[in-house]
Amino acid sequence: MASLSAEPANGEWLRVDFRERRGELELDVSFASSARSVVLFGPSGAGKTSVLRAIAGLDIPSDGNIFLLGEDLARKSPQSRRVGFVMQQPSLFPHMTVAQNVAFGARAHSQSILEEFQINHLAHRLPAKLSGGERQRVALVRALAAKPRALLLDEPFSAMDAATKEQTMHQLDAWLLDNPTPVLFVTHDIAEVFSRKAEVILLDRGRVRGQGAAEIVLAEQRLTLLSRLNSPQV
Amino acid sequence: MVEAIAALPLVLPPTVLGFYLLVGMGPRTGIGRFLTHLLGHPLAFSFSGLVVGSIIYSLPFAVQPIVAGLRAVDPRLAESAAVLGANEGKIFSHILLPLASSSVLAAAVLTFAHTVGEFGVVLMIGGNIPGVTRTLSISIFDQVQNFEYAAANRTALFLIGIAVCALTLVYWRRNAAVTVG
Repeated sequence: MASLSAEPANGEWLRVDFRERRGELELDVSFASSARSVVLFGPSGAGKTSVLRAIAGLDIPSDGNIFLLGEDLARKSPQSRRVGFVMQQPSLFPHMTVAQNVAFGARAHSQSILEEFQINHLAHRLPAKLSGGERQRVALVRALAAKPRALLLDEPFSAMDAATKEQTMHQLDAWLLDNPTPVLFVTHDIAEVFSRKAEVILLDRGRVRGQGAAEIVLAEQRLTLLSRLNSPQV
Repeated sequence: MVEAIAALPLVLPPTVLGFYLLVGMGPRTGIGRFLTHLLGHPLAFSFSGLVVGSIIYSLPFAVQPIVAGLRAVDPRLAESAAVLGANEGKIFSHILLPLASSSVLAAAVLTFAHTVGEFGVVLMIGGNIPGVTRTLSISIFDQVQNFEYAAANRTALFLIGIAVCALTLVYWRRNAAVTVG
C-alpha cells in the first residue's frame, strides 16, 4: 500500500499510519477510511488486535500517527480517546455484577441499554456465573453504554452460538442507527466479513494487503489468504 | 527499589533496627528534635514511638503480599477500565484494590499478628515501661525471668490464640475470594 499523507482528508474518521515491532511481528500498518463500518480482516497473528490496541491507546507505536475523527491521538490517554473497545476475551470486572459493569463509565442510562440488548435478566449476576457468549454481550453493552466516539470490536461474537450472534448483530445495528458511531470490527471469519456489508481492510503479516468492498478485496487475495487462514499464529 | 528498601527490616536483626530507630528518634538527630518539637515529647520510650517502630519493622509483611496481590490482577481489567474513561485513582480504588482485597486483608492481619508478638525492636525503642510500652512478648520474658511459668503460659496461649484467629481469617477470606473469582 502507498504511504498516506500526514493529515486526514475530509470525511475520514480513521487514519492509521504506524510502525511497531510486536515480538516476531513487524507491523507497518497504513490505511484510512471514511466508511462508517470497517472490517479489519486477516488470519490469526496478522496484527489486527495490535491495530485496535494502538487506536485505543493501550499500546503506543514507536513511529507514526493515528487520527480519529480528525484528531491526532498521539498525546491522548486511553481515557480521553473515548473509544469503545470490546476485547476478544471480554474483561468484565469479576467483583461487579453485570449492572455494575455496564454502569462503570456509562454516559447513558445503563438499565435501558440492558433492556435494549435483552440482558436485563443478567443484571445481578457476577461474570463468573455467565456463559462465554453472555460475557461477550455484556462487554459489548458496557462499551456502548459509555457512548463512545468510535467502536473497536475485536471478534466480539466469537463465543456466541449462531442464533445469539445474529440477534446481537441485529441489536447492534439497531443501536448504531439510533447512535451513529463509526465501527472498526476485527474478525478472521469470512462469513462475518460478508454479513457486515462493510468496507474491508485486509491485513496480513503486519501489512495492509487490500482495501475496499469485500468481494473485490477477498477475490484478489483469495489464493494466498486461504492458504494462511488456518496456519499457526505468527 | 522501594520494594527492596521496604524489605530491609526482613533481613536486619530487630535489635539493630531498634537501635538505629532509638538513635533516630533521640535528641541528637534533626528528625528526632523535629518530632519532639512536633509532639511535645520524645518518641523514644513512648507508646507512639513504639507504634512508629512497629510500623517500620512490620512494613515488609504488609508490602510484599499487597504488591503480590496487585500484580496478580489481570492487567486487561485495568486497560478496560482506562478505555471506559476511569482515571488512575478510580482504577486503583474500584478495580485493583477490591480485587486484591484478600491480599490487603492478609497483609493487615499478618502484620498485626507479627507486631503483637514483636520483641527486639519494641524493647529497644520502648524500654519495657509497665502500662506504657510493655508488650505481651516482653511480659512473657518478664514472667519467665520471675519464674512465673503459669502466667507466662497464659500469655503465650493468648498470643497463640491471636495467631490462630489471624490465620483463620486470612484463609477464610482467600477461599471466599477464589469462590467469587
